[in-house]
Amino acid sequence: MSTDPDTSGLLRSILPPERLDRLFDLCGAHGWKLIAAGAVVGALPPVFGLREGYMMTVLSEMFLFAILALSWDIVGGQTGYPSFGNMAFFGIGGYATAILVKDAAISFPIAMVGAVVAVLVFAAVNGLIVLRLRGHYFAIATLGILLAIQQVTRNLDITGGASGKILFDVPPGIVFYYFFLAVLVVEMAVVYYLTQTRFGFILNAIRDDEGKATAMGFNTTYYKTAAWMLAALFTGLAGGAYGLFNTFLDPQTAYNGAWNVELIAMALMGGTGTVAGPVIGAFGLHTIIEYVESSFVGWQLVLLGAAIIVTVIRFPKGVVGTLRAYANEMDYYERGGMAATDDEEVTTDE
Amino acid sequence: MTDTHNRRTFLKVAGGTGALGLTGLAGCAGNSSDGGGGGSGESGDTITLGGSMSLTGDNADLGRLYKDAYQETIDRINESGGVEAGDGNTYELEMVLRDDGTDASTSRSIYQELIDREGIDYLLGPYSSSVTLPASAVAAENEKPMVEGGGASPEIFSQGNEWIFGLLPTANKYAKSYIDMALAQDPTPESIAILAEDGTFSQSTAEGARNKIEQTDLELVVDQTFPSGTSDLSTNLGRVRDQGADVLLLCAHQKHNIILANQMESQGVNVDAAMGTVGSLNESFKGEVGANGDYLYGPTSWDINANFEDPVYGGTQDFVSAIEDNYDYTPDYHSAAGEAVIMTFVNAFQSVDELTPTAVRNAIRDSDPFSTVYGDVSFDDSGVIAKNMLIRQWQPDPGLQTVYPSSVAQSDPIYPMPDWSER
Amino acid sequence: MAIAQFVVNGLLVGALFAAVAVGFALIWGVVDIINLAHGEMVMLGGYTAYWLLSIATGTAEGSVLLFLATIPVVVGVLFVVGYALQRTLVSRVIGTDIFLTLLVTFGISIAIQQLAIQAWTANPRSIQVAFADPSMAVGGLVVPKMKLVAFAGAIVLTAILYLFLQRTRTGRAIRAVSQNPEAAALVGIDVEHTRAVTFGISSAVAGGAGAFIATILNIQPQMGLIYTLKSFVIVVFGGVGSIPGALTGGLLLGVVEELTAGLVSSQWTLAVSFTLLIVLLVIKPKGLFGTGADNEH
Repeated sequence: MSTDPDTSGLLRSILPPERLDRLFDLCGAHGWKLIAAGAVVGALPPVFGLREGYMMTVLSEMFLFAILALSWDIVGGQTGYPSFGNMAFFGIGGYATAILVKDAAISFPIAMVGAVVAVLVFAAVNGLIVLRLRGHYFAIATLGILLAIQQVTRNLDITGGASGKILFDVPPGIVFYYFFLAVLVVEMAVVYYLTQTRFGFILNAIRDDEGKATAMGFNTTYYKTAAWMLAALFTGLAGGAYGLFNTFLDPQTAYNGAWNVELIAMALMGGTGTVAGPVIGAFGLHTIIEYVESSFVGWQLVLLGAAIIVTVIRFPKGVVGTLRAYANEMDYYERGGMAATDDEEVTTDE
Repeated sequence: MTDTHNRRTFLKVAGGTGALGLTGLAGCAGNSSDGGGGGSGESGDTITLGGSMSLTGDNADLGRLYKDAYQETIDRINESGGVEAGDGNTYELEMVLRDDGTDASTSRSIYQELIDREGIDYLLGPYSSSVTLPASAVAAENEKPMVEGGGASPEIFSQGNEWIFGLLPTANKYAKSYIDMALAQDPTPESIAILAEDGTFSQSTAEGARNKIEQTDLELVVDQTFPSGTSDLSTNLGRVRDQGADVLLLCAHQKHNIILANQMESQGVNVDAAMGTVGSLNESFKGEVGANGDYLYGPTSWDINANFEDPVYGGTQDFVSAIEDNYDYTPDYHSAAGEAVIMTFVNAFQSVDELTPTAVRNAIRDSDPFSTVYGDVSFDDSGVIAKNMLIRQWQPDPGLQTVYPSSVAQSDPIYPMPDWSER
Repeated sequence: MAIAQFVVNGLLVGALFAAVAVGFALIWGVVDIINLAHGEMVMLGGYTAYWLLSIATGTAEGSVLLFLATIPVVVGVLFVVGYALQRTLVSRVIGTDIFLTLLVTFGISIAIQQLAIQAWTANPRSIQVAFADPSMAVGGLVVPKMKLVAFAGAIVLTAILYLFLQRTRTGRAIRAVSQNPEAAALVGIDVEHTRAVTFGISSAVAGGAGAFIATILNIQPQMGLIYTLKSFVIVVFGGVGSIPGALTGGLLLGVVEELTAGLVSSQWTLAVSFTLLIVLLVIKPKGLFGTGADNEH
């Protein structure tokens, strides 16, 4: 959204920048309460009768995608390391629980712990490799790892090879609904908290100029790895639950290439580098994709590709980022003529 | 930093409420042309059958065969007055078919949507085992019977699922008839080579072949798996040639069959018999490879030349003509299996006292064999049809011929295959 | 089977990988874009050749000469496609976040794949080139003739590209832009046009390779990704922007894959390729010959 009058004229008359800005300030003052409110709202539908079935699956999947997009954003949007291989964590988590539950007859909660351990170990090992790379190379390396892991999984017996794993006795849908909701709320809380502390500040510094950040004396390796492990943790949790949720897991579903793209697109369209952006992007894009799938049979991926292109070219900041830029228009005047439209440069606290 | 968060958190709450609003909209809007809301599956005098099929993507060509067969059969039934159900009413049939693009991750939500929002009680299964697995789980959880003609992996039927019925022989049987046929020929082959794609179905077929081979005197000289993403079989074919295998079995799909035919020719790999498990018998395959496809074999679960009796079409040949006339192609076993799916339900509807999912499921399970264009249909305890594969071969002059078993063969197999240099 | 046979198989098919990778290397070096839609150019090239032959002869069969006659057309068509893509879409994200550039080409790749499925169905296609005797035996090794033709074709395309860059004005302009766009602009080079031309010729060569691939393997709308990924491995090995590097890398990758398939099992070929990618990225990101793209964003 540019600031020229033609495009944003309508928006201006309804919601001028100053008012949006004040709205933001108001809500920002109550950040934690908002997260809690969101959690309550999310917890309500089953109380009011939604116990199973299609709606529940749709909402559960929405929470799931929000987790994936937000996790990606920790490393991609906040730290500036765009990973093209996050689904590797998802798949490893999924297979870990599937193998533990099916072959070792371990109960779901303990299996989840096992999955988390597996994912964190994997993240630590591959973090050692990829976090030394930058930019393009990092992105490609993560993609390479995802594909390599997928191939390896196809060839091993313990994972059921290409046939995957079938799990028939799984907890009912409502368990997964609350599980995904809970993980999402926790993740939002964690990310929100971190972005308000030095940790988040340093991540953003790495994103903006890693050389400078290192020169300032920050141990960038530590922070990058921490962000990476955090992203892996949540993605792995989501994956661990998904295998059981879907009652079926094979290499194609666990390391789903389409989802790999979708989660990045969701973070992008919602607004990278923010807490709400990936979540909004996930809810919105997933809804749109579901709708398109049932109405325009066969065209959903074409539209996804086109949507990605359009967003990247016209709205690279995503919904949240663009709204924020819009709301900040008046900053110049509010701050008495200081030439700053980007928050990060103006911040003086911490 | 605090300024940034004000904005972020505002949007969080906006996002949260917005999301719930959006999902509400999605709920109303996400329905297809059948109008919104969850109507009951049998409202008034209609029974709706619902399911998903590979209408786009890799298997779109095959998915279409099912869809056309379903539609043709349902239209005919409705034209002749509908189904006279055992509860005394006559019903028209309707079908809702979604596209799953052969993507297993959509399967669950598609079938759940059909059950919850469309109110469908009788499910048509998808094509491809990987999509059928989660779909059959949904059917079991919701206690709705599912009949499918497209998932042949034995795992589907070994889960103790009492709500799934399959019209294809399971994957492990695909190679059995082929091996039997080869062993009945003269000179008797001594060695066999297996090349298998690393997908669920292909691996099951290969496993079935290995089990069968153990019971014979054949020596398994090559047993290789290749990633389904690769399209170069040269090295593996080189192995086949070097080991001097007499018989070759390719467990893969159409794409690899095309490569097999072409690369066998270009590398001069001569065997006595070669078969691909799926996609080697359709016209688009032959169209792509031309003469290179001659003498290749393929399995089918349907004897297209027979004349099984059928209450809707009259007989098998009538079905063949109907599809040829209306859709401009010759049907294959996928089409016939599709017809049998519909007839399985119809047969069950006719024999129940009361039209409920459980009663229909029981009727399917307990039914005596009944005849359809596909042949006799009856299911064993795990829900699999009692059927074996027939073998067909591309013969240069007459074209596609059924060659095994001899009771239904149109002509003898041309065995061994002529060397490439002699063609 | 003799190791020599594997090596020969590998070289024959590796040349095609190389022809695809040189374009990829060029775009990366000159435009500083990792073109995730590069594999789709290969696919489009294959289909163009396929349809040309089908229109000419009624089926997708023909003699060698007829097939080779389609190559210049394919090259031309794909040049236009590549040029247009760069000019209309990719140019808008040059210089922005690398993440955005990756995504734009990814979006293009998805869109092209899906449109191809809608237009041509997902059925695999192949071109049959008629030979009286399809393969020849050279010293105990089996060499299918069409593969040899494809090998030669790939090498020729690569050589033409290389000579173009070294000897012509446009080629020099391209090299200038890759070294220093601002300086190039200062001496009067139309940087935008040059970048678009680079995209165009890279796509053209990839498309040509695709036509050959249609004859010895087959083509279907989603074949592109594998070639894009292999191009990564090759370019990381050979060095960004380096044509000799990409050629060497391509041939080597082909040999490595065939040796894996032959000595170990064909199951592991893709796993080996991808692992190789990671290993290379870690130990030698600048590649064998190349200048190596900046490690900074």
